[in-house]
Amino acid sequence: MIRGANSAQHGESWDLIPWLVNGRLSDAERAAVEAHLPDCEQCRREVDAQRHLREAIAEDNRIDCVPSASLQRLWVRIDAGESEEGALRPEPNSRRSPVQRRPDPWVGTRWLVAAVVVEAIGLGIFGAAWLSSSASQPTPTAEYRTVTSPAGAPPAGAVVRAVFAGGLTLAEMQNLLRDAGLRIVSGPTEAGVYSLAPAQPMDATHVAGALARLRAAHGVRFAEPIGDLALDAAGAPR
Amino acid sequence: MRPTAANSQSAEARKHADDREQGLIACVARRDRKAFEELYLLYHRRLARFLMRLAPRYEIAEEVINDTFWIVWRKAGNFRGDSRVSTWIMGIAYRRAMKSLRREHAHTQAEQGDPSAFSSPSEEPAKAEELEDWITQGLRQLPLEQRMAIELAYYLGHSYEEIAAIMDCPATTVKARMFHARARLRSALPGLGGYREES
Repeated sequence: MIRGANSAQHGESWDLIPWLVNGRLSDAERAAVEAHLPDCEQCRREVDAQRHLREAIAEDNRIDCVPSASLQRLWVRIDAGESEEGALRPEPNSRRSPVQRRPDPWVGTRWLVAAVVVEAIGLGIFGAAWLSSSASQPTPTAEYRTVTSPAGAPPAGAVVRAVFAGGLTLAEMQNLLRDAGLRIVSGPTEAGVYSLAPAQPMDATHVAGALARLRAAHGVRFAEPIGDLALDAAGAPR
Repeated sequence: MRPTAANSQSAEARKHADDREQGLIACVARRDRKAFEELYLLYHRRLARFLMRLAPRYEIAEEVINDTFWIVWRKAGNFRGDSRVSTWIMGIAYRRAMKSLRREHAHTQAEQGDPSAFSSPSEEPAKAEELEDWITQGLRQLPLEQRMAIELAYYLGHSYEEIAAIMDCPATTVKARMFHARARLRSALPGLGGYREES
């Protein structure tokens, strides 16, 4: 049982343990905690546990990303904002993600409103580029594309876009795709995105099932449907 | 060992990095694109890694990063050096991330009816290489602010004063968030290091 001054010392030391293990305590704080540890097995065990936790979190480098594509998209957005600033209004039908389209109680600050305006312009630029590059497609597309989506039309037959965990082996990826009944038709993009098509013709229900299996899989960072256009191209019945 | 984030830096290395970043911000305030790109590349990986552990979708992390640096570009001239550049940038990223993640969380609740879309971790990892996923599952059991506090301390290596500035709350709140996060993890991950001996 810890009592009196020892109890206060224990409480202070206990609270500071995370920053003892990340090396960010002041000299005085570190000295106080280290003076307490020899007398407190509970704190020593906690230091051990927090060191394990910190090491596991700090060493998790499985996410690989190539930032240059994102940076280019940001420059487009910045340049659009700087050249058009003050003369822009959001387009009534500007395409936004389902998430972004929902009412946002935080849209009250000026910069965020400006962000929406500028992003709408960015989307317009990307959308125009996409449409012009896919003039031969039967339908312009109603598909949503974010400013962070890969540019260009989805490959024929692609029904799902996915990003896999960096540490996934080729064999693991092949197993994942086989289980989901999908195959890679393009990718990875610079942002690590793969486009996937059905290995055999499948209807919308089966595509939804394949998507669900991918999303539940261990090595999949995200998986999103591409749209009805690609589903038709894959030979699915209407 | 691969380099991770600021948490492995010595005080001297931190000071050197801080001076460099202060210089970059001053250049960005003068609309120096090369300096902006250097700063962006410095932060992209650590922000992506930080956000991908919190965001359910890659696009959300990317959106938060670019929103953050869009503000950095516009507001660099307002940065007065009262804090470290990393604290300032992480503060912007934190606010953007909280908005995006709360919005996403509300959407998940509306669509699924069950916000706890994450499974409980097993008793302990079956293999050493599964440790990171096992811990990730444990972290997902935590409220967002507690998870962020853990990541800011253990992945990004921030002091509790810096985390308080990033989260815009008192230092006592940061300590309390960490206290509760640790208590929850002790229950969720009984096989983690020193916890094992207690059970």
